[in-house]
Amino acid sequence: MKKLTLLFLLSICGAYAQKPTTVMVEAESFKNKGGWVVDQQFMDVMGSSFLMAHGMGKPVADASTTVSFPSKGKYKVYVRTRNWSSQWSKKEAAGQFLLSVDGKTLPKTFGKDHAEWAWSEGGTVKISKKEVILSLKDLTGFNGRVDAIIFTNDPAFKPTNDVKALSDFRNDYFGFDRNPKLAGDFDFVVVGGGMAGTCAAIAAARNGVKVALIQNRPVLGGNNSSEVRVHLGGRINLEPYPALGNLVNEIGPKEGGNAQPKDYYEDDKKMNAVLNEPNISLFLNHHANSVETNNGTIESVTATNIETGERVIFKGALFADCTGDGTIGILAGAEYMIGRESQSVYGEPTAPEVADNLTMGASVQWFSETKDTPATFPDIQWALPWDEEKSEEITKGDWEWETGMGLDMKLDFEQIRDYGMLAVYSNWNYLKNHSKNKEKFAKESLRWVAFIAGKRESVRLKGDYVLIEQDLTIPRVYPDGTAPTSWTIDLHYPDPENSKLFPGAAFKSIAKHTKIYPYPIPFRCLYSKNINNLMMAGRDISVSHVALGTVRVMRTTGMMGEVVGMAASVCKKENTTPRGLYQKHFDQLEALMLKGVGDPTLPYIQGYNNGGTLMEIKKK
Amino acid sequence: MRWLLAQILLLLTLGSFQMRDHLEEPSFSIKLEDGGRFDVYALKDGNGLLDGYRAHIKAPVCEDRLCYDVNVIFYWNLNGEFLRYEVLPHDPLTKMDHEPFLPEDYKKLQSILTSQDLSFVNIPKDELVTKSDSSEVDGYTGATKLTVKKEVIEGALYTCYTLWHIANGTVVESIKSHTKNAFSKELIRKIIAQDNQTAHYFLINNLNSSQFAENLPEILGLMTSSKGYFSKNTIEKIPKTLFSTEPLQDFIVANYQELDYYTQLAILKKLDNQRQSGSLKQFFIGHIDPKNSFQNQKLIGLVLQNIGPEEFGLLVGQLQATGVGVSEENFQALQQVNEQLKLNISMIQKL
Ligand SMILES: Cc1cc2nc3c(=O)[nH]c(=O)nc-3n(C[C@H](O)[C@H](O)[C@H](O)COP(=O)(O)OP(=O)(O)OC[C@H]3O[C@@H](n4cnc5c(N)ncnc54)[C@H](O)[C@@H]3O)c2cc1C
Repeated sequence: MKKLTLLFLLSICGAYAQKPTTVMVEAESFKNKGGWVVDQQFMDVMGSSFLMAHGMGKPVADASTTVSFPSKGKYKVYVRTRNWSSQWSKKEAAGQFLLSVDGKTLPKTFGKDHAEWAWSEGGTVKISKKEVILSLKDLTGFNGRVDAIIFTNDPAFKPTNDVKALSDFRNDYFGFDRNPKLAGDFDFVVVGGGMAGTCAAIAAARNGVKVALIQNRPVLGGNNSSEVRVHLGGRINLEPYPALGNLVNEIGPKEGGNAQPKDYYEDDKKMNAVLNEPNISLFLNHHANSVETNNGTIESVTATNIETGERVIFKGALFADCTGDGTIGILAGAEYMIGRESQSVYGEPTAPEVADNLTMGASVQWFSETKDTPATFPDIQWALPWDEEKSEEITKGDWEWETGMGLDMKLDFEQIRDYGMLAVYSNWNYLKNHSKNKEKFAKESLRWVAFIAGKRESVRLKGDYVLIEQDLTIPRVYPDGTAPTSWTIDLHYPDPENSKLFPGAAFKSIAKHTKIYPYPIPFRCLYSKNINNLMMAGRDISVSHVALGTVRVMRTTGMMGEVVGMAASVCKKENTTPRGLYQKHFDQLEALMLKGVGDPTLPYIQGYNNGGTLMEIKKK
Repeated sequence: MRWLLAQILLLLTLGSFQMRDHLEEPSFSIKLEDGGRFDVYALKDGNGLLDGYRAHIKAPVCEDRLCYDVNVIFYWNLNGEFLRYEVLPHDPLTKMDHEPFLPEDYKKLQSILTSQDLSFVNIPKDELVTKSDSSEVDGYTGATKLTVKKEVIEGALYTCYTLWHIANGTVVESIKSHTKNAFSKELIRKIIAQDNQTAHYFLINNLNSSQFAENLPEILGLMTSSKGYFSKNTIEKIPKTLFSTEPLQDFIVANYQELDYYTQLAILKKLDNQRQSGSLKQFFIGHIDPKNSFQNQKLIGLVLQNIGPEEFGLLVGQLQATGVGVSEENFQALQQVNEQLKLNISMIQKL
């Protein structure tokens, strides 16, 4: 914040002081966030991270910060916000909040006006001192959101609602984009700190590679972090590379279960493992969003700090896209695939006859706890229409609370996440306030509802090979096999029952499973076909939609990370690309895979959620 | 009606078993965690060969503070896989509140006891139930509810849990070592003839060197029809010394191309420093090919070990004809051999 003010002062000092002034404050930069959370999930679409009052029905504590004004006087106030529930209900908005300036609350209630992100006019305030405290007061506890606040005494100024123009305005105002800080020059830049990215970074670092790990959340683990709470699935220590997975065992949680209490996910274990590696520079809270290429080779990646807005540039020889979304690949111009391939593309028996845009969905998981005394929940009017037939008398929403199949997992993701949350609140509201069995739920109180939605599928980057169903089922193994995938081919579809109740907007899913033998994923699926120095690990590797059914589980994505990290060390040593490694130096990768990178002496603690397999014996 | 018939049938068969139990000596007995124990009897086939195992299980189970003794007969195969169970007609299994099992519950129990893919069996017993959600009837709701509930018979969580651990617990290792101690040529052949890859794994993990030697052709035969990583694992288990023998090397020549890549690599590793027949060397030389870039260096290195003039000439010819390059390490070995043979190797490319 200090920095913000300084920059600002620099730009308006001296002769400009008398000119009309406009002061912009990013909500996510508020010094004291109170009970508000920073949400960066949609910044590539709506332009910024923002603060959100995720109180699960209880208003959260105020957020506050200090702002410096260059001159006293009257200012018009604008707040960039939205009414997120209005796309489903014309009733009173779910998320509402107040803004106070220097202790005086503006009369306007925000969060009610418009469905889309836009500037709401907040009236006029009189600024009578240089340093003024702003504070945000949540009124509902239901996800009111604030991106930024603008004060202006320029009668001609009106903030723009065009995302591109607004982004230019921000850049001009804060100056971050013109002047990104150099984070450093690395051998290997890993973007995305889920199991895949975390393992890739550690594996490379332990093999002598200088690594930057960029993660857009304050914790590592991605879907396996306490922010999403999905447990690890699949098997490790399998043929033909039994040492792969030792690192997953080393950093993975010892307890299984989706939507469990926070401790289950052992965020600290992953974090400490990374902090213990002198070769890794860790950049938490950094969202990578632009890429410089030259002739099909990535030269640098730039990331925005999701709290301060500062921009940081990472130069590197090799890059890994472990974002799950293929973000780095797409920005670099990599070929990619999306939705379901038709049967005619790869001849897969399970593929649909006609291609479509159906991906697997995203999940907002949740659970409640039993209190000693009755607990209330507001009788919300904006809930989806609900009745006994729709009512689910449960206290936990697991993986099958899944929605957004058929929508775009990037462009529509705010809507997908919000709908997932709306479904949770609608059912809970019914159980607490209307159900014929509401007595049973009297002492239940929502304990946790995810606001970081878990994704399963967005895009898949194309490699030199695309893994398909028949490879897995025949099975047809290739000499460049690496991490073995062992989970079933597990494909999700909208739950037919739920689809009947919610036509076109199901929020629950069913899974269909086909067992396979553990199958080593070809190395050619782990690097881009047309971007020379880009590898990938995680759910965005080069596989068909059907094959994604097995490879996407996190013990497997973690092992892909181990492999990609090892490959980075071979590429560095031989001064070659991933394709060069495949063509000339695969034996070196083979040797590293046989050796493994995790501590082999640790007790095996990955016995939960291994999934069914055709494998005939248990190794370990 | 059908159920009744099945019960009667059961009664008849059980009658005869129980009589036999009194005549036979148990092969060994197993201690249960709670202090109880049960005897395991070996079963024989018509030829007097070991055929499987049986035990009469009596164990206390409590479902929500209501306790009763389950009373069942368990069967396992030679390598300790649980096969099936039988109930005593006067003693049906029950669920909570002493509700008797329904036909579909008996069926589900069978699939539970034979499954290795269940997650509830890995949860410590005292964590199966979380107390938080006591409003629900099953008594095991709350955090683990959904996953556990889907896997077990409703109202019979502890019956499922206890019986699974008996069926798949320490008895498995005891059965394996009992069968292993009884290994004879006939018994080994009998297991080989079974259509059961787990049993075949049991064999390759437990045969000693002379048993491998004695049954080598049959074991190699299993590889050609196996699935998954069985052939790779078999190669790794066969004693190294057998790799210098003619039958094994002939097998390699005849089957190498049909075997998967990882089995091939395992073979090359096992052949390291073993005497290779002329025909094996020639076979490998013929295999050196630009299409085979993943194996070429391993093949060249192997063939160069103790190579004679005739095969060396062949190798040089193959390298020149195919243009396959040679790694630094292999090139040095090649030059060393050539110090005596003095062929023209100038056309051979280094990698
Ligand atoms: C509800 C649910 C249940 C599931 N069940 C299981 C299960 O039981 N077992 C299992 O193993 N898998 C399960 N999956 C699948 C698995 O969690 C996903 O496939 C997962 O995405 C794979 O891990 P990953 O490392 O590829 O990605 P992720 O875990 O998604 O990690 C990617 C990380 O990168 C970060 N990131 C993304 N973009 C950027 C950027 N531009 N800059 C910086 N950082 C970025 C993200 O915030 C995230 O933390 C489930 C998924 C869901 C949603």
